[in-house]
Amino acid sequence: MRLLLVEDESKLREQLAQQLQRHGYAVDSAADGREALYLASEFDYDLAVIDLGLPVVDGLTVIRTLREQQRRFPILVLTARGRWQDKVEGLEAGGDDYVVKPFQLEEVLARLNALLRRSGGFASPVLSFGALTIDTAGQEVCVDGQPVELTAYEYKALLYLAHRHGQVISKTELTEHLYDQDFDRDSNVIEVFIGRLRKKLDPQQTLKPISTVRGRGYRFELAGAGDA
Amino acid sequence: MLKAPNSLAQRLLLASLICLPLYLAATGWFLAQAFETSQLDSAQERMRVQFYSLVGALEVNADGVRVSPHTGDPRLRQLNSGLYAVITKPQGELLWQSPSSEGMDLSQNLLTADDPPPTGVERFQALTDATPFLRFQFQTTWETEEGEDTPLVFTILETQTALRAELGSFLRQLWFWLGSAALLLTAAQAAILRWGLRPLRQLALDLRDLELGRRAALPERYPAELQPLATNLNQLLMREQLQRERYRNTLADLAHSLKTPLAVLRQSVEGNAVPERALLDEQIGRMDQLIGYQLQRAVASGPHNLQQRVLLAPLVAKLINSFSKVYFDKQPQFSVQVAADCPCRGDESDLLEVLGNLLDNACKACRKKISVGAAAGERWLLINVEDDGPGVPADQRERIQQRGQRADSYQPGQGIGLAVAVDILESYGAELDIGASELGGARFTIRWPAA
Repeated sequence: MRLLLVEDESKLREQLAQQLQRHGYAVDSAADGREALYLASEFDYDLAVIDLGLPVVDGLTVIRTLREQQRRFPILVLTARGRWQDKVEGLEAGGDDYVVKPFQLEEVLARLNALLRRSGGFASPVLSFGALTIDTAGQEVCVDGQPVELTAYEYKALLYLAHRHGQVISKTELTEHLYDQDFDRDSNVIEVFIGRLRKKLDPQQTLKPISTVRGRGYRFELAGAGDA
Repeated sequence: MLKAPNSLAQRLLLASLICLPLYLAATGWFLAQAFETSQLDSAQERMRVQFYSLVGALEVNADGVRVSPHTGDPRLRQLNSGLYAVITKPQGELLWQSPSSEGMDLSQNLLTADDPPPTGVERFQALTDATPFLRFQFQTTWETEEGEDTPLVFTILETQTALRAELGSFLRQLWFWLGSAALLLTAAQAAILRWGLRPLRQLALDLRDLELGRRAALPERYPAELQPLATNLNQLLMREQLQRERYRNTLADLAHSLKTPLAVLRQSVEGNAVPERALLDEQIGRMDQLIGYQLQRAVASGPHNLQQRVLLAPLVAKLINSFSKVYFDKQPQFSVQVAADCPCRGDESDLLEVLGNLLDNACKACRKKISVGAAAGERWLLINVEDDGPGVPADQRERIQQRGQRADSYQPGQGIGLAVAVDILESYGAELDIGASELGGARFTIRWPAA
């Protein structure tokens, strides 16, 4: 999941970026509104976390501009001002949810999860695909009711594919949405990575949740796809 | 360029000082002109009479011209009297002269400086030579006793001394009176200005007293034009003072209430122990709540007279739009019964805060349904926020909106939203009533003073 983080306070930005990365997000950080708009025009994001009080171009303008440019990824608004007027302004400008500073990381993560799920078109926090269920609230994956241990990256990759179930996702796209900008894209890490994920999810190779479409990429497909 | 004076009285006085003399000078000039014209007219009339009496006493025969000695103005017979009469031929040849003019240099200049007037036409001039005369001339054709026609030119001269003297005395009087009038009017104007602008000076003095702290508000005794200014100023002052008090209280409360969690934190780090995360979390959360509560209370705008009316419907629509996003998973169903033109007198931000907090609570509490309604009455605007959640037990309704509850008595996890809303409502003289809704949950009713 590629995430755009816009926050002018450097300490907070670094901490937040680190923690989000630890939870499997590929994070691009911007310190002001102009940089944020530039990054958004260059890359394809799944999510954005935008502070309202930004230098150069303020947060509200950034959000409005993004929406005018038909960028539809979910936006979590960070605001230091807790009045409803400020929250309503952020949401009216095009934000999807808000968190008031000071916040706890768990809360931000929970909101981001909910936003991602919503943008994938799932109303319930538990995504169910036949024998395979993904609990986005608890970040838990089960096959036939048995929990499967996944790393944060593996979980994000599975979630990304599951949100686009039925669609073919290219290796490049998957790489871009999983890793930071400086990731070495020529490596075949993705193939190894997907192989490992398949083994963990389906050791007996009976489900085959992730299929390879030759020359094009991967497709997540399981019978009974839908909400729990 | 001259700088305009920085005082209303000076401006008005300067304007009248410029206009008044101009007006008086123009008046004086017209009056002087009119007087001179009328003086000349009457002089001409007088000389015409002299001319007619001369004509009546005239005898013309082959020997010459003769005038009966006792006719006309006696001045004509008195030497150098200032009134002279001469009869000549058109070419200038002297036929007769009044005794008064004997010995006088009746040079051609004086008599016929230019050609005599045509026959039958009267000419009257005020000469402007070294010795200024009024000159009346008339040419006529006289039939002698022998039956011959002889052209005769009558010239009557009168010195302008008397006329000028009269004119001079008139002008002196005129300017004296006009000057007096000017002085009087200016003095009156200054007095009027002083009197008329006295309330402004008083206002300035009162403001100065206000500044020096000698009085707390402006008195209510200004003329109708100034009173609204004073009243609004007083309201502004009062508001400002209330705000200042609120800030002071907020800071005092904040300082006081932050000390408890700080004390807990300090105790927990003493002895070099690293405090538990749960404890840190709890105390940080508590401090955050305290700051949030106090500062939101402080920035609430509160009521004031210059406040505009806010339309309720768009405000509610905005909030519902926002809550639909925030509570996307829950998807509460909102039903709104607020008339599009329902007004509310207050600060938009304060209204958003109150309604936002109530709706937020409703969204949290509801199962599915939330209803927002507003009914404008004569004295109150009633705003209802209802939900189909568990409701608020009757014995807790009082407690959760208790006023004056100390901020540091809030329990962790307890929201500050309702407390902030109650504070704002109180500042507007509005009330909050908690009851049961027909939907099955809680009903929060705001009684807002009607706009």
